[in-house]
Amino acid sequence: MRTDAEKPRGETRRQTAEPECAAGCPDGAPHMMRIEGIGLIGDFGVGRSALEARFLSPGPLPVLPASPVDTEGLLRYLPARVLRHADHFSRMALLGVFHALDEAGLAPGDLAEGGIVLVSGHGPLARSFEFLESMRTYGPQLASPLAFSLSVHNIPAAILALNLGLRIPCATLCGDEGVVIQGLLTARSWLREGRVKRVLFAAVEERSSGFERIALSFAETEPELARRLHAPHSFAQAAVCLILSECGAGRDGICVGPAEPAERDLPDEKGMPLFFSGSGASEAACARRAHCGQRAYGRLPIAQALDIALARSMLEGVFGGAAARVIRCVELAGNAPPHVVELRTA
Amino acid sequence: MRRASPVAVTGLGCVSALGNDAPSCLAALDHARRLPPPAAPAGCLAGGTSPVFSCDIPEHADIPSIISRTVRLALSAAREALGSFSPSASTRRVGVCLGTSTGAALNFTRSWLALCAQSAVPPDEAARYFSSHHPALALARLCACKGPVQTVVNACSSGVDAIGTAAAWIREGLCDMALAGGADELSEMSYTGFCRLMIASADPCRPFDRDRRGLNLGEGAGILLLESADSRARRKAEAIGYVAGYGTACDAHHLTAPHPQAAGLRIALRQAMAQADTSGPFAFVNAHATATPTNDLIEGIALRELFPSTPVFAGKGATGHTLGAAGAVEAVFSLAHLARGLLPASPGFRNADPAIGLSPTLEPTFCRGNFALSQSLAFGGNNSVLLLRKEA
Repeated sequence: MRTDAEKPRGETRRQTAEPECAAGCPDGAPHMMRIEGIGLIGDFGVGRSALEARFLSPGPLPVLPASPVDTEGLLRYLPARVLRHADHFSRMALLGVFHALDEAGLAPGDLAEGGIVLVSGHGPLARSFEFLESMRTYGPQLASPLAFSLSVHNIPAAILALNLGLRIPCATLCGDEGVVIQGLLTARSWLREGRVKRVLFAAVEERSSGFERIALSFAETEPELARRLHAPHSFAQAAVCLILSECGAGRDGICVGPAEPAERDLPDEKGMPLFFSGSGASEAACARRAHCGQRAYGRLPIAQALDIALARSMLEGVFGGAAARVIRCVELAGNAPPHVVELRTA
Repeated sequence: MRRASPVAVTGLGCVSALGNDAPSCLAALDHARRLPPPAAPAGCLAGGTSPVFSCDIPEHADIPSIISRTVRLALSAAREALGSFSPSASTRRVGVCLGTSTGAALNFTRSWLALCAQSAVPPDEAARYFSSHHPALALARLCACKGPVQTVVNACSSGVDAIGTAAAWIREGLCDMALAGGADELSEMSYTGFCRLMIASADPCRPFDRDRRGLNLGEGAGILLLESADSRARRKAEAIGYVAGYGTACDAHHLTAPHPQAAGLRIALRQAMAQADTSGPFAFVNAHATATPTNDLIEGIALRELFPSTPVFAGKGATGHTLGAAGAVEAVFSLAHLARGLLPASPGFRNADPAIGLSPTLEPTFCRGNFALSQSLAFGGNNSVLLLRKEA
């Protein structure tokens, strides 16, 4: 065994070996990752075409109460008995994952050296209220231990790993601001560290009538505080799954990655297409003649992931018009600096 | 897994049932002080009998009352870790990466009862949730940090995962410094849940002990101040130790029980050692050791096989299981133990379990070496490991 003295090393200042990309990213763009496949499910329906159609001819926002998105399509991939412990949140994620794998032409085994990064604003809401309800109905001595264990935030990621048969790194992040860009940062770190070769990135949000009623009650009784805290902020459901890999030399396609915002400014786009999400999205989009997808998919903390999907469709020319090569998806929340994600194509 | 440079730790902060700062926590551990187990959390519907380890933190008069206890615990530890450094008075980019479990949960017990009874919903639970369920963001705002902000919710491995993530931020140049760790408060929901899972002991917990009967919940926070070489050089900050490696892997076996051969833990250990480019020897291993029959059996057997001559420390007999904070609280303890080369006795342990064949420290024990491991096992089959280093 080598001793420390035989392999001296100090703190280095940066990671090395920035990959070069043939997909249109600037040389040595270390911030980009290649999108191999996307899976989508939400109030708009299932699949990319459903979101694209909704974006092109938006109707009104979903009205309460919304029914859960149909996840019956999962039975094409997994037997019903395997799914018995999977709640709606996890089922949406699983269906999105299988669609993303299909689009990428990959099988679950191709993620054997991968990792899972799951992000959400509020996590598995329905299971949490199921546990609260069991406490109320049966008392704490008889409350459901199953509902409790399945209400823990990282269980959906574990359900993904379990059902895909993957003994790999799993991270679950939550938060109603910047959670998508944070998930992308973790995905990029894992790829750059050589920890994984692919990342299954899932952004998931579900609806819960209990959550919505409490949030609305709060907003009614404490309107000023609720406005300041951006509550309520999750009255839509969706799962966006991306298969990401390193954006390296000789690889084409569309790349995505976190980008530096200008200090407290919106990016100076000079004609670059923009998508806005977050609490200040509508006003910003109107002011900049940019896109705001909220009317297509609702208002939810993982909106930026849906914008990534729409931006990718736009880069592929799905929406017609002049072909763009770079699109930015900007999340705006309060007075915080914008969270900017950039997509590029050749 | 590529070898990575070690990331310096230049500040430590800790709050637990043992004390309100790292020195008092460590002094209490040294004196093998076992706090008298307090009663169940006030107002607990469970009427449970499992003791808990609660903190007695001072009030933060400057903090709005709607901010959650989890964030207050984190703030206490963060202020200790920052010392005299003020992010608001600096141009340095300071990130915040915080692990939590109950701190991000929907603690809506009274709201739900009121809603179902068709009476007015008290606004305090919702106000606390919307202000604090992203505790890293709440902490970043309170400390005026200007860097990446992330809340990790990987259950009981969250604290370790947050530290591993923040170390990557420093290496990538995303920030100059990072407050990294975990925080969690006692909550009625998690207390009820652990009692109903039949893994909470009615007695003070005994990690690795033959007579262990389950865990005791606790609350607390542990924060490391991670810092880049450039930033450290500019302000002439001494390194207390280094985060040299991090590994994580899911068992993909069962949603709440560990893999019988600790498969995910072994992968996480390999990753951490590969990133730090060392396979030991290790001064010690800080075990997760919740005192549940299953966790300690599986973790103990794996440690006995992998590190047969390495001292093992198990601290939850003094802090309780602080869930998302546990890995961070124990990282603080581990760095301190590594720096001075001495491990305290493992509180609560008396008799070895022949089924495990491993005894954690029974008395203060010298531990020589430059490296130590600290590991956390979690719900969802998650396993995460930090490899800590005394000197660069």
